[in-house]
Parts: sequence; structure tokens; C-alpha cells
Amino acid sequence: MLRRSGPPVNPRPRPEGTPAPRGATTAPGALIAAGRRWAHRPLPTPSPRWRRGPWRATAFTSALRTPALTARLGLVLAGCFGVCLLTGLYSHLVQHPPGWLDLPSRPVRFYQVSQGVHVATGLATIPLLGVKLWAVYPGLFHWPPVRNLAHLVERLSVAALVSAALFEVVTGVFNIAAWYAPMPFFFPSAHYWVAWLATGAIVTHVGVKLPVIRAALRRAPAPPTPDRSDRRDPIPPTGAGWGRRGLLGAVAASVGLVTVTTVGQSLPPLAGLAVLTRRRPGTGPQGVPVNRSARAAGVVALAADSAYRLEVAGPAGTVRLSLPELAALPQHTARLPIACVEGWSADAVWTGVRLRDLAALVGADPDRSAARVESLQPAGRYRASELGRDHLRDPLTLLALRVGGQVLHPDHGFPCRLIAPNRPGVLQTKWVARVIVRVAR
Amino acid sequence: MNRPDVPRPTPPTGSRWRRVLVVGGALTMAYAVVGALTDPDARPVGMLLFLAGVLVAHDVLLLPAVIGLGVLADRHLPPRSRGAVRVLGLATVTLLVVAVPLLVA
Repeated sequence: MLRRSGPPVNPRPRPEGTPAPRGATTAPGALIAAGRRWAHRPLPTPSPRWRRGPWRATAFTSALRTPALTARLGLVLAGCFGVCLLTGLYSHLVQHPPGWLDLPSRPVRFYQVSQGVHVATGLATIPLLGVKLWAVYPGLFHWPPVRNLAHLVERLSVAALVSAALFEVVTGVFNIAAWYAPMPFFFPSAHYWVAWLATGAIVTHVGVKLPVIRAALRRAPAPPTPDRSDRRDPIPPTGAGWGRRGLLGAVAASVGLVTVTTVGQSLPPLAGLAVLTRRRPGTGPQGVPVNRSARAAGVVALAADSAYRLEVAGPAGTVRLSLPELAALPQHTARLPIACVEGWSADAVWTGVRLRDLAALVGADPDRSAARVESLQPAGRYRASELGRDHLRDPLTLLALRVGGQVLHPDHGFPCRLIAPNRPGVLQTKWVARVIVRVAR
Repeated sequence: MNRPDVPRPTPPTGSRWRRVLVVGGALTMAYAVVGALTDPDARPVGMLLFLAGVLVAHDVLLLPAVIGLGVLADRHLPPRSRGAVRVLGLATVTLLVVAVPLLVA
């Protein structure tokens, strides 16, 4: 019943007035037809006295608000949301892997690139969404506000769409800024479920508006605005001297500006321009950014304790290794990024023990094992992480003791930390206390 | 929708596509609602408040303010500079959306 709630939406004659074919004479057919008539029964129109302010027919005057503009912006926005959905789903999958799926440890930078794209695309939607909502804003003051029940449902679905789209952009920006106070929920879960809400609302919206979209895109992009002369409009249009091209140029310029001032958080050559970010490559202790410091994690004393022993448990038993014993094992060096879900990432050169060597030490087959890596952190959602078979056997997966040749700074996870390819930063467990190796599935 | 399902020898018509999109989208939205209600981490009431909050903040505060500023600019600025002011305005609002949470946090 959503699909035919407005005359501009569905210009074709409505079929329910025509004699119904065989099907409608059956009970379910008749029931559906009756339900449809009920949903389309006109509701009373409020008195015209109430039609004031933005509800006046002449309230919005810009000649730039056209279906052609709306459809084009909508198309680009749908593409951006699609990119964000796919990259976001990938991150969700990595952090909540289903049992049947062994996520690959290569390409090394796949997670880093996918999340850089997620955040950059999300930020680019800010001006796109803003102008799209500006273009359709008069629709909010439709008169009469509700024609019939089907119209009401359509309007509610549009409200869900606008709300969900704004929610995703705003919570995403808040998360990048690490501003959690105004969000009364756990960000990753809420951002994930509202992404599905937005996706469903977009798909429904495209279905409802399909005829309008088709007509708007079929028409030549025709700028009737080599400016200054939109005379067909009975109301003197505002926005003269501007034109659709100017508006789209402004959107492009804004997208460019927000990209240039943020993308350096994961693209070292542009790090100097990344003024609108919290973390940049090359900053932080030992030249690598940190999200959670040792103090914030409550491990300062535990990490500095000389009685520290790394506990490695496996099929053949448990071994406890002191820091000198760990350093005496074969050391390997790998250049790997810390790639945060918040969009920043930074490369570093890590040196330490291969996790597969530790697995072999406790009698596990390094090619057929998985592991759980636990931190000294007494509490916290990310105090432990799981490593699948592909990550455990990868020779680049290390328990690092050094970064850039220096002993790890406490904020980087001293005495030792996990570092593995193609993996989100929150799962690169720091201050490792225990590794539990088991047979993979 | 009022026709019984026939085998489907015909290629999908526009209206059939619309039906698929509308129903598919509605099912996806339902999945989101059920998911949020059953996820112990999600806090659905907080989410609902925030959903309503961003809608009101945008539709009642931000957008009317931006439109109002645009009207003022149209009234008081010489025609030649209006385009540049609009470009600057949009870029400024965009950057503020990113910068304000960073500064406040």
C-alpha cells in the first residue's frame, strides 16, 4: 500500500477501480481489495485557516528544488550508503565472526583500506545528505498533511529514512571524535542495526519513488539555468545567479574539503592536512597513535611488574615465559598497520615472536590451530580477542616486544602485544598475559 | 498485488520491481527493528531517542536556520557575491559538523 500514495508518485490510472480479474472474486482477493480501499479512503482535510508558515504554497521559492536535482543527489547518496554498508558489514563480520567462517589474514591492508574508505565515504555524505534534505524539505509541509492511511505510512517510512540516515552520519562523526557522552547506547551495535534500518528505508523509498526517479533521470540533465532566467515559475524564484551546476559544484567542493581535512588520518602523505582528526600517522608515543593508554586500561602497575610471565597454554600443557625468555626466542620483524575502526591507521615496524612458534612450543600444530589472546586488563570489552586459523598460522602474526626497534611503550602494550595482518586495532590485544591455543574447529 | 501469482513468463514490469523493492525494504527494516530489540548491547530506547533527536535537530533547528541565512544573504548581498557566499556557507556547515564534536569531546 505504500506504493501508490501520491499522485506524483504514480501517475498511472489506479487499477483498483477497474473490474477485478478472477482472483478478486475469491475471499483473499476481496479482502485485499477492501483493505486497499480502506487504506486509500480520504481523511478529512484540515481547515485552510491552519495552512500557515511553511505550509503555505508559496513558502519555498528556490527554483533549484527539482526532481532532477533530488534524483541525482539521491543516486550518489545511495551509492555512498552502499559503500558504507559493505565496508561496515565487513568490519562487523571481522569482529563477530560466525563459527563457519575463517577470515583470511591477507591482503595485509584489506581491513585498513576498507575502514579508511568507510569513514571517508561517510564523511563525504555530510554535504550530500544536507543538500538532498534541503531539496525535499518542502515535502515535510505537504498539504493536507495526511491524505489517507497509505499516505501516512509512506510519510512515516520517509521519516524513518531521514532519521536513520542522519543517525548513521551523526553517530559516525561522534564516534570519530570519541564523543560518547551524548549517545545513550553502545555505538557499534546501534550503528550496525540502524544501518539495516537505513538500508531498508532506502530500498523502500526507491521503490515508492521509482517512476519519479526514472522520469527525472530520463530527462536530459538540461540546465534550464544558464542562470538568471527561470521565468516559468509564477513565484519569483530565489537562488538566481546560482543554478544547479553551482549547487552541485558547492557540494563537490564541500566533499573535497571534508575529505582533504580528514583523510590524512590514514593516508600519511596528507597527514599534515588532517586538521579535523584525533589521530594522525606519526603522532603518539614512538610515532604511532594510541587509542587506549595503559593508564586508561588500568594496567600500569601490572605491566611494570618484574614478576610478569607470559602464559601459553596448549595441548601439551602450559609454559610460562619471562620477558628475557621471550626475547631469547627467534625474533621476527614485520611492517604492519594499526587500523582503527574509527578510520585512522598508522604503519609501524614490529619485532617479536611469531605466534605460530609459540603454538608449536605447547604442542599444537601451527597450521591447524586457533587461539584466544588475553590481556592483563582486569576488565573491558576488548580485554581478549580470538585468532582464527588463518591468522594464527600467518608468519606475520607476532607477539611484538618492540616497535621501531625500541622496547614497547606501555601505551603500545608493554611487555608484549599482538599484532597481525588484516585485523582491526581493537583486536590487536595489548599487554598480553595469556595465549590459549586449541585445535581449530 | 490483487492478482493471483501467475507462473511469470513476462519480464518484470516497473510495478513488479516497485513491489519487490517496497516489500524487500520493509522486511529489511523489520529485521533491523527485531535485531535492535534482541541485541543485548543495543539499548533500543536510547536509539529511539537519538533517532528522534537527530530528526528534530535537523528539521526544526539546523535546516530552517540555514534556509533563513540563505534568505538573508539573498536580501542583503550584491548578486555577484551570492554564489561564493553559498559555496562558503555549505562548506562551513559541513566542516562544522565534523569539527564541533571534535572540539566538544
